[in-house]
Formats: sequence, C-alpha cells, structure tokens
Amino acid sequence: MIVRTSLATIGALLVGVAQACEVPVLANAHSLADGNTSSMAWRFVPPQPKIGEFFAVEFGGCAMGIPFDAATLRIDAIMPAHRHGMNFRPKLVDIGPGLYRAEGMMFHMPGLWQLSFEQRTAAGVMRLTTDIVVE
Amino acid sequence: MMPGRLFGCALAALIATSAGAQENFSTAEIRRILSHGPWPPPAVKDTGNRVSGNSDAIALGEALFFDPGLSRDGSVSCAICHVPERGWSDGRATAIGLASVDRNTPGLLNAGLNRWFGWDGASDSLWHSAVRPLLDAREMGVSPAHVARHLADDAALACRYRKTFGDPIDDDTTMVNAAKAIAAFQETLASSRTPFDDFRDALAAGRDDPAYPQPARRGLKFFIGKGDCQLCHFGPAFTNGEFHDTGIPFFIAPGRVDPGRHLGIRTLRQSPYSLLGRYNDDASGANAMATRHVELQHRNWGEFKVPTLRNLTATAPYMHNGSLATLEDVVRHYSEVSEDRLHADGEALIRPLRLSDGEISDLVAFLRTLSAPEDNKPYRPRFASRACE
Repeated sequence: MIVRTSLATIGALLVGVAQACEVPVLANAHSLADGNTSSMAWRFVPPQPKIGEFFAVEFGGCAMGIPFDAATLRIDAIMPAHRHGMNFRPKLVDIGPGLYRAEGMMFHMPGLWQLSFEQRTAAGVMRLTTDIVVE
Repeated sequence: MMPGRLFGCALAALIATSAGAQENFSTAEIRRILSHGPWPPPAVKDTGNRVSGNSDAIALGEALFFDPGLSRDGSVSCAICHVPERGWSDGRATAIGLASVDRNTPGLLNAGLNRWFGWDGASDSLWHSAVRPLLDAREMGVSPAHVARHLADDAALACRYRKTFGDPIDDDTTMVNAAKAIAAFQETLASSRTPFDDFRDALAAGRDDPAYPQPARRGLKFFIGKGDCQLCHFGPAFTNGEFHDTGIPFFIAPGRVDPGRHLGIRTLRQSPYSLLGRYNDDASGANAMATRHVELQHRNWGEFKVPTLRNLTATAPYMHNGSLATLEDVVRHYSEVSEDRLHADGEALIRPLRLSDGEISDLVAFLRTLSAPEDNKPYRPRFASRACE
C-alpha cells in the first residue's frame, strides 16, 4: 500500500497567547504547523496503513502555545469527496509526556483521506489537517 | 521497494499493450488489477475460535450444518438456506426458515475472510453468525438447551462433541461450541481460482493471458476506472467488508423498514456472543478491535454490507433484499440509480453511471469471470463421513 502525505494547515480560529511549549520528539514523524503557535509531530503505526486494516496514530504537540490536553483533544479522518468519515471511533491513549496514541483507526476505502487533529483550549480551537492518499 | 514494484507494473503494461488487439491497461490500472489478488489468500485461523482448523471440530461442524435436528421442529438445517450447489445460498429473494425472513441469504464461500457477518454486520465472528440463526425464531428457533439436548441424545454427535470440546459444561457453552464447530467447517468453504485470477497472475508475471475475453477486459477497465466500483469492491475478495447505502429501498412492507447497519451495530452491542463477551477465545482481546471501536452513526441507517463479487453467478438474486434477479439487473441499477433514494445525510458515493448497453454487457462479462463453475456442485460430506470412535 502506498501512502502519500501532503501537508496542509488550518490556522487556529482564535489567536492564542504564546507560551513555552515544545513539540515532543517522535522518530520518523511528520510535522504540522499553522505558522503561528500551533505545531505538532505525528506518525502512523505501522508506518504505511493498509486499506481495511487497523492502524494507530502517535502524536504530540502544542496548541496555541499550550501542550496538547487529552481531555479536549480529538483526532478524525474523513473522505471529503465521499462525505463520510471512518466507521470506527479512535481511542486516545497517553503514551508518554505530551504524547498520545489514537488506536482503532481504519481507512476502509482507497482514495483521498483528510486526517485532522483538533484541540480545544481556553483561547479557542486549534485544527491541523493533512491529506493522505491511500491506494 | 516502491520503485521495484512500479517497474514490475510498467513491464506488465508494456507486455499487455504489445498484444495488439488486447485491451490496454496503464501502469496505474495494472496496479489496481493486481490489488485483487493473489487468490486464494493464505489461510488464517480465527483466534477467537479455539477449534478453528481443528479436524474433529470441522467434522462435527459439517455434521451439524446438515442436521435439521438443530431446529425447533426438526425441519430446518443450515443447508436449507445455504444450499451448496447454489453457492451456499438458496436462490430465493429472501430466506425462508421456520418462517419468512426479510433478507437475502448470503453465500458462504470465503466467509472466513469477513470482519462482519450478515447484511447488517450484527455478528463479529463466524461462530457468532452461526449462533444467530439458531436463536432466531424465524430461522431455526431453538434455545441453548435444545442444542445441548440434541448433542447429548445423538450418539454420533455426542462422540464428536466430546472429542472436540470434552464433556459439556452448560447449555449456553455447548451451543456456542456447536457454533464454533460449524464455523470451523464453514472456514473450509473457499472458492476456487477463476479466469480473472489467471489473467491477474499473468499480468503480475509480466505476461498476457490470451484466453481472458475482450468483453471482460473492457468491463474490468470500467470496474477499476470510470465506474470506481473498486472503491467498495476492494481487494482479493472484492469487498472492503464494510457498509454502504446503494439506493436499494429499505422498506420491507408498508410501515416496516430495514434499518440495516444501524440495527446491526445496536444488535451487536447487546449480544452476549460478541467478541467483547466471555466466549471469545482470544484472551488478549486483540481480535475484538473492530467491535470495540465501531461507531454508531446516523448515516448507518439503510446501509448494507458490501458483498464479495466472487462466485456471483451462483448466488442470484442479488442485494440485501434479493430484489434484483440477474447480474444485468444489478449493473443496470448502478447505471440508473436514483439519487433521491439515497440517504440525504449519507455518503456522496453512489451516482448513476449512465452506461450504454455495451458497457453493461462488458461489466457483466467481467463479473462472470469472478466465478468458478466447479464451486457449485452438490456437496458430499468430506469430514464427518468416518464414524466417531
């Protein structure tokens, strides 16, 4: 299975107050940023998900200068062209300081998927997205 | 690894093109064709069924599959609806057990490859799907006590049960064990290689298969191209194993609807026989990932499982309600599907393909090459023919 990743960023809806926050180190990770105070690292586990097979996403980052907080953190994937998401709801697991693993994800069809990370903070909502072509 | 694979595909494209009158396939198309094989896939044991692949269990399961004694009045066996020479389906629009059922009987070949079972996926394992008709009043309509009593009263069955599972513990466990034995038997029902598989493997080897008919090639090209059929009919089994609204009405009768996947998920969550229950033999629970994470969504209403396209020629009529009599009817449905019939809040996936008669004929020609005639002969017991000692 070939997975091509192209990165896109969606800016935070509200401008947050910059604080000291460092994106956790994650080997072989992709990065996402909004050019302001939100940035993150993420990777698939296994590195190339297969259609119809479960995979996880490990990630960590900063939303408006504040480390991600599992309580208001959400990960999802949709197929924009087909107007549907996954058939499975991922579960977030804390795997280390500032790092999370979203388990139970599946791309059940080939095509363009949009992976999104959403963090709600007191300052607003951060949303970072990336396009994945699954063949 | 990726460049090597692409080179192989390019070579195959070149050879397919050089055949002159042959339908040409691009490198990308060949890559898609190759994704539908190889066939058969490697056999995989069901970790949730400790007797998966066990020869004693298979023999017991085969005997039980053809045994009407597992029904309330002794008239209905699994094989009444899953008729071997009909692709392990029954040829009816909707099934009839002890009473009429609302859905078409799916064939059983390659059933072991599924993630979900039944048109609504209310079962999450093959053995769970064998429990369901036993308890359904319209199908076999028995209780766990009936199954346990039948297994105890029939000396041959009792012998096979003891050899497989040891002495019975309680009625519920005995019924689940019987279902696991039936599942072990069903896992042996695999479809044979087809003309498509020969063509696919020839492309994989960088050759052409001149015996593969031109209409089928044109149909295949449409299937993996303009038709986008492989978005749902994906992989070697030609199904992504999930659920979609295909515009087939889900009204059963005035005032009665079939909620499809929406009901399936709700039923699954209430079942004591799901992989989240105590009968799952995988202590790690790793095989219950799908059941743990499946999400009930509004769009599930009216969605039904994407069936395999293998061995289609024997399993007419088609769709969840058996409303389409022939493969031509099915292709014509996708050609003319009314978008008004699709769930307003559902996926934007199905659209009328607007096919010409020639394209319909080509697509049907391709679909026919996914069947192997030898798969639909009358079945002779292979495992339970020897006496149990």
